[in-house]
This record gives sequence, structure tokens and C-alpha cells, in this order.
Amino acid sequence: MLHEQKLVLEEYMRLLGNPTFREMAADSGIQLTRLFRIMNGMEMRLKEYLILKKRVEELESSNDLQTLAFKCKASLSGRARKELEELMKRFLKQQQLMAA
Amino acid sequence: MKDGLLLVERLILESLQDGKKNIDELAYDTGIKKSLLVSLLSNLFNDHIVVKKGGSYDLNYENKKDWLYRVNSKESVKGEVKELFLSMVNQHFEELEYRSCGLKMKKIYVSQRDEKILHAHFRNLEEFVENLEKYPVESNDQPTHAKKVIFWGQSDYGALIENSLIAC
Repeated sequence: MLHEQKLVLEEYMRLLGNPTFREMAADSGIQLTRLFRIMNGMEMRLKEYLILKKRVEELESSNDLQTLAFKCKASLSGRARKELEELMKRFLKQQQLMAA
Repeated sequence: MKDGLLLVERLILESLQDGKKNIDELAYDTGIKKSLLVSLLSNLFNDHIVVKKGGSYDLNYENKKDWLYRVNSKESVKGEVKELFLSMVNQHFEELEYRSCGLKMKKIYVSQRDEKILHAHFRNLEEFVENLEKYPVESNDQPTHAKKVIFWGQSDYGALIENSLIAC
């Protein structure tokens, strides 16, 4: 695999917080089997490279909650992630009970 | 119960600690709307913390061992205190005209001598508050939600910063 392809793939996985193949397929629209082959060294098609490159740019620039969550998952320490998780769980539980 | 108690759940438990109550009594004592109470009680019931006896709700004293340690665990209490403090901070900055709460914070240099005086003040405050708890004057008719929440404490600025950096 070319160096640029490897870089974009690594960056993509880092921003998504080390996702599973299914998560990557769902996020990128690239077939699961293709992703598996790419991860195992097969060359990307141009279209696949452009998709992943675009996703990396979107993830890096976006500040919405979902993207923030991905970034936090990828970048923060275990302790910080746990703090966020606890806070989110509490808010979510409260909302669910209020909506019931 | 997978996670700790929410503040509103803790309030219900504190209310029931004083004795079993029906839904109307709980609504009065906690200040929580009945519709939300029903949902909260259902959740506490599923966690086997609360039981229903006739038309009243009570703490599940029979299986206290199953839930009490979880409810009072360090992580559970820590989560609640954070939630309480966050609420207090938000309230302080939101309510400008009518302040039902007062939050004070200072960053100051304290000499060794003044630190002893400061600790003495804290001890006095602690004794005063503990006495209020032991010998309440007008608590009989007061609902649980009418209690005051009082925070006090101090720390080294550097230690707080260090702790916040470790968290990242």
C-alpha cells in the first residue's frame, strides 16, 4: 500500500476511535470486504482513497457532538473518557426517565 | 442498577428514609412532579431499591444488602456530588435577579498562621452544620426538598490544576 494511503487510513481510524470493520463500512460507505482487504495491504482504489480523505477532513473540522465524541474516544486518556462517559450516562438516564 | 443514582433518585430515597409514602406524599416531600415520580419509582422498583406496599412506596429494607452498597459506593456518591455542584454552579451564573443560592470562591495566598485560622473557621462551620443536623429546630413539617445544600472546602491551586491535567 502506498504511504499516503496508509496515512489517510491511520488518520481515519484514529479520528473514528479505532472502529470495527462494520463501523468503518457504515461510516464510509465502502464495502466491508474491501475494507478488510485494504487493511491487509491491498491497494485502495482512487474512489476509496478520496472517500476516506474526505471523511478525515470532515471529522477534523466538524465540532458536532458525534464528531466530538469520536475525537474524545480517540484522543483522551482512559480517565477522561470515563469522566465523560459517566456524565453522558447521567444526562441520558435523566432524559429517558423524564420522557417515559 | 448499572450506574449510580441520579440526584432526583437520591431525593426519593431520602424522602422514603423518613417513612413510607404514597405518591401524593412523595410529590409533596420531594417537589417532583407526579408524572416524573412515577417513572423514577418504576426504575427504582426495577432495581429492587423501592417496594410498593398497598398504595405506598417504601425502601426495600428486606434486600438492603443488594443495593445499599452500590447506592453508597464511592463512584456513585462522587457522581452525585459532581451533579449537585454542577447544578449549583449553573444556578449561580443563571439566576441574576433572584439568588436562591450563593457560591463563593477565592484564590488567595494564605500564610501558615492564617491557614490555622482558616481551618478553625472550617471546623466551626462543620460543628455548626453537624449540630443543625443532630438537633433540627423546625424540620418536622418541612419537605425534604426544602433542605439547604451547603458545600465547603479548600485545596491547593496547584493540586487542583495537576488533578485536572491528569484527567486529560
